[in-house]
Amino acid sequence: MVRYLTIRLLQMFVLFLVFLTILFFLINAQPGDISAQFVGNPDIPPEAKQILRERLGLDQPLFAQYLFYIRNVLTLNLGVSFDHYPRTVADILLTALPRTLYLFGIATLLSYIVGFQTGKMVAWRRGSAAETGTMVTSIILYTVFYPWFAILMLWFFGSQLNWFPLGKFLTPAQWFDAPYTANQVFNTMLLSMFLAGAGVALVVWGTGKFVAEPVPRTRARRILFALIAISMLAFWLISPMSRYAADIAYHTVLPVTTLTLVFYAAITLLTRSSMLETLREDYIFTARAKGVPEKVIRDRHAARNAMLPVTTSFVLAIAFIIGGGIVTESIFSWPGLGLTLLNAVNVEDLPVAMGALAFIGLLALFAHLVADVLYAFLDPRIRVQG
Amino acid sequence: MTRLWRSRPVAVVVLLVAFALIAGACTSDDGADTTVATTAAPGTTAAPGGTQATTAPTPAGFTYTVGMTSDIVNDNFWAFIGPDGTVYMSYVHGPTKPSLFSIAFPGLVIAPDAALGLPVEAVQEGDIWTVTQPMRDDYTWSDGSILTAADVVFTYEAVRDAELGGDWISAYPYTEASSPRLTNVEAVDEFTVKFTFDSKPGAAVWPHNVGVASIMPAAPWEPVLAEALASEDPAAIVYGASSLEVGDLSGGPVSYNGREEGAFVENIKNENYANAGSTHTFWQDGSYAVNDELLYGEGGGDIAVEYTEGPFLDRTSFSIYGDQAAAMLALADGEIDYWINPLGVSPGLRQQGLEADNLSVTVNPTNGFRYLAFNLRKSPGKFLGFRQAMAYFDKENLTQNVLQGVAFPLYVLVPEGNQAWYNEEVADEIASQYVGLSTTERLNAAYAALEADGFTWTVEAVRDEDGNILEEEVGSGLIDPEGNLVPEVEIMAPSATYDPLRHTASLWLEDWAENLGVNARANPTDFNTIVAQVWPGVGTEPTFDMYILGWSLGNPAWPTFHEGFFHSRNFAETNDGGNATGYSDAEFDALADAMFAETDKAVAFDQIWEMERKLATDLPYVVLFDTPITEFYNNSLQFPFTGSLSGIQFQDGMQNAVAK
Repeated sequence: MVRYLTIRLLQMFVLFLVFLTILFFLINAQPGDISAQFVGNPDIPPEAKQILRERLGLDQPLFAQYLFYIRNVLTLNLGVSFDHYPRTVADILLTALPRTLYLFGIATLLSYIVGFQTGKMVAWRRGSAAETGTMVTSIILYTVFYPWFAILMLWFFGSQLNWFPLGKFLTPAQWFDAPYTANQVFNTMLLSMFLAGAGVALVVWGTGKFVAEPVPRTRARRILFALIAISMLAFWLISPMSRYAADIAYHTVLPVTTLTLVFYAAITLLTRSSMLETLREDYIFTARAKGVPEKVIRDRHAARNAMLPVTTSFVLAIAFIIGGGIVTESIFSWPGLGLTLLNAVNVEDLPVAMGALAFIGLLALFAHLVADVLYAFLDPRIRVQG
Repeated sequence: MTRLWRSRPVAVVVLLVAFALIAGACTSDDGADTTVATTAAPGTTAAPGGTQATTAPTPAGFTYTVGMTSDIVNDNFWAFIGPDGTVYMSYVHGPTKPSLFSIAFPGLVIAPDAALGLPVEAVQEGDIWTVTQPMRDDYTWSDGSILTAADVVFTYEAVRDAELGGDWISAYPYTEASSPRLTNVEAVDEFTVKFTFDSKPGAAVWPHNVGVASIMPAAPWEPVLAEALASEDPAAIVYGASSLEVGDLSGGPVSYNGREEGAFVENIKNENYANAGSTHTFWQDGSYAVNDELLYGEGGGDIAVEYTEGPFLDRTSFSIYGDQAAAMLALADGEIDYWINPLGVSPGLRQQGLEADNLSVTVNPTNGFRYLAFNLRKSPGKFLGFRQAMAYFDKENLTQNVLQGVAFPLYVLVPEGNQAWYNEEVADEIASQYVGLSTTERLNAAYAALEADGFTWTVEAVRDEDGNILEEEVGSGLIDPEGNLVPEVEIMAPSATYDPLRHTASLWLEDWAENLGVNARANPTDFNTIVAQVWPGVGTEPTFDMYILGWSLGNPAWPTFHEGFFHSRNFAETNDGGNATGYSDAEFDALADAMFAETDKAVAFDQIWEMERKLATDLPYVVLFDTPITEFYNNSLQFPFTGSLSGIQFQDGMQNAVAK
């Protein structure tokens, strides 16, 4: 496994360099540069454009710019934004990152949990009215024109019913003199979510390892899960940040619901298809022949095996959520990485565009590695040579 | 996992968390941002130019909520005027700095701000020209300190020594390329500042550039400048400093007070605003008075607009929306009072705004135009006959029928909304060559222009017995006066997704060019690609055939764009200047130079219209059309006037005078 990982990491490094090179030349193949911003203002004299180009190094030959860029990336320096000059690219990306992680992280988790459970159930009850209804709903949601659907959700729940705010991630009036920045609150929320998740994982692992009997194990887990939830609740109730976190959470409901509905449909369809294949396997018949309870066959024998493609899809999705959804972030006015990338491309802020894409590329490479390793871990039939 | 949700303790805790979050979100709303639709009378909607005499705002503090579809880039005023100068930055930062003079709306005249009285004229001292301008001794910064000549000197020296770029170069023209060049600024005494130019400054430079240049407070910025000048890259230090950390001061009606990136930006009322309470009176005859002191005209006849400056707001909250549909929903829902939108609204959103009971609408002419440009360096654009023939296309039909009235046809460059500089008589005279012609008359005129210039056709057009060109049998294979077959010509225009109007116009012009016997191709092109081909950089001659773009025109109080777009010294290949067509005419150059150096408005007015006549004849551009600025705002808002060139947004949302 160590040798395999070493080779994969080396391959990833080479692939990343190739990716960066293609990225650099593709993005620079765009005509014009950021000094075009002065074109629209006849009051700005022509020399202003040249001054800006010199300042940003755009007067250098392209290959010299490329070498400079690669050297910078390898030394973890993504450079300075053209559009937000002289702010660093890293600062811009790190500002947008927690917002995207939070929104898309929750939506992805929810959609996979709900989608997997639904897919499992409808496959098990094949031919029932529930399956037909779920399939029709899922296909509609999977094929719906997303921008239209998102605007519809915003209009219906935000404007007509007034249940939720019309986009944005906070209510400005509550934040005018706030002692925290939104990112401080986002980071704390992400940290608490991570700690809760880690706690849940620890409980599952610990009770699985140390409590052998199913009934006491279930009871122990329930109690420990409740303790984790109470700890989180207590933290947020006493935290002076809670007011601001609540505001962000309130703004999260509508975009998360919209995203979850669309993501969930895809996961339901994937899980159902995978489950149906698994249910035809010989070992399922064997289990039934042995008299294993139906629920156990469904949850342990079938669903666990059907989980493999869903898990791969989940890991890859985790990588690509970093890129955010340009459409989602635009419609719900959620300024994450997607909007940052879109704006950077629009105004030819090449360092930010390349920085964001390089970041996404790197995560995609790592996600593939994790998916491969996880696949081997989950499926004992797959083993790495060497 | 299913078991987890079935677990009662967990379910109870989850419900509690949800309840706590919802309760927190609901109870912590202090209501400061609520702008629920009221039954107040709709706001005034004026015809272009402003004709209403209003306003008696109720001076009660409120939060003015404004929607924007883009965030500001940073909080640094130096960077705003420099490399980060977006229009959204101007809405936030624009009203925070004083200048010696400002442009008073809606009359678009120069009015004193920190200066005492109207601009002093430049005088010659040997080889140089100087302006010695007295300043007010009571103009305060937001901390209560007095703005002095030292602040003006500091600003100039900072721009010059840190070699700041962008609009700072036109505001304080310090570079070698500047003509005239501002060589020095000094404080004669605490409230008198002296500007030195290396040649005579026309009104375009003084006061309309240097006089309206922003003034920065020296006290908070002196340490930053000192640090910057000691560094390798002074400009980066100056642009990179945080205004809030530096303790920047405001001299305008509002002060910048912070932002939450991607969510909102906040300005607050400047309690020490020096112009608070001053009254502005504009008469129909163009007269203008501040605090009953007449600055222009005699002040007789009907008053057009009269208003008192606030600020009446406590704060301005700019909310950032990701797209236009969300901003319009927020406006219609009362979440924001006004949507400041430089991009124009689509017909669907416009309809949505018109149908909302709680909104008022105002429509104003723009300070700009969209145009077709020819490349005068190559055939067929270099031949006047071709340009004249192209100009005969049916602009009225295009704007009224094809574009369904969302645009209005234009024939001259000076926008009609700039009433102080618009010459209706000459504009009508120029337009009369084209307006009301039938298709046959247009074809006849276009073919006559081509023939007069020596063009021929491989296959001649068929004419009826009266000599009229038959629409169905136009000529083909146009041959230029040098005997060369005109090759396929490309009309570059933004794509339909970027600007459907210009895209449609390019298709319309493609058809018209084919009627003239030219094999034309409308090419929907990315905006940046057009810009890169039209301005390929110093030393590279542009090779385009024709393109369609638009201009937003600068300072409307003394328009100098004719010089920028058409003077031969501003060739794109020479200095990356605005003259991309390659138009070069000694008579035009002389007029542009004279206008640039002129100090008498009446003379400059005549010069501008002489240039317009010349351009209408030589046609390096065919001015096409523009769209009006349509703006929506909540009925509860009271603007002192809404009829003004480029609308409320051109005055940064009128944070100095809006009431509620």
